Amino acid sequence: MAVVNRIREIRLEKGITQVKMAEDLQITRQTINAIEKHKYNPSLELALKIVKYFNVPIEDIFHLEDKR
Amino acid sequence: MKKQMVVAQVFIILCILVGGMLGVYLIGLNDGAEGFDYNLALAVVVGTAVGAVVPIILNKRHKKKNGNIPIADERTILIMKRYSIAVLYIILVGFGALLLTLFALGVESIKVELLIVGLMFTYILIGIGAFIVKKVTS
Repeated sequence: MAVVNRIREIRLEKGITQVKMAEDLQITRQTINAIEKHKYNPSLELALKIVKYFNVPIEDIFHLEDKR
Repeated sequence: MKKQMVVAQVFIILCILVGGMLGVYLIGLNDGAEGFDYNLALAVVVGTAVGAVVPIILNKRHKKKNGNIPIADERTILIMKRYSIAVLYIILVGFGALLLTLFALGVESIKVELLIVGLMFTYILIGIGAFIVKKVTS
């Protein structure tokens, strides 16, 4: 089962740029890009930081995609 | 992360200095009467100092260009770990193949100097490879 995230949608809804988010979370912009494109799954620590940053429930950001 | 980078850089600089001084001492031993060459030691210190300034300048440039965004994060570490594992196997298999080939060609002994030069080139290649991997993946 693949991990799917809605970081891009939530980020755009809140009007936050990748650069701003990278600065606030102290990660590289490339990492945000990789996470948004589902090329990289963040560590649990970073995932929890992202959840805290957006202040939304974790299920709204990350969920498991069932294989069909 | 920043503190770790500083510690790593200081450690690398210390290693270069100790290695350089050891080299100067060994050259002194080889030359016999001349002893420890202070001019050569000065060249080692100045070279290391100039080399140490380069990452500081690069860091300053990065900060000017990208603000407070870090150079590396958890993904960079993961990529470097994968690169290290790949390099380990390539070197193990590569050196094994090289030794077998040399043995098959009838070479029975290798000069230690040659081994040192070979290792030196390997270290340089690993460093260049790490730089390329970092640039390509980020």
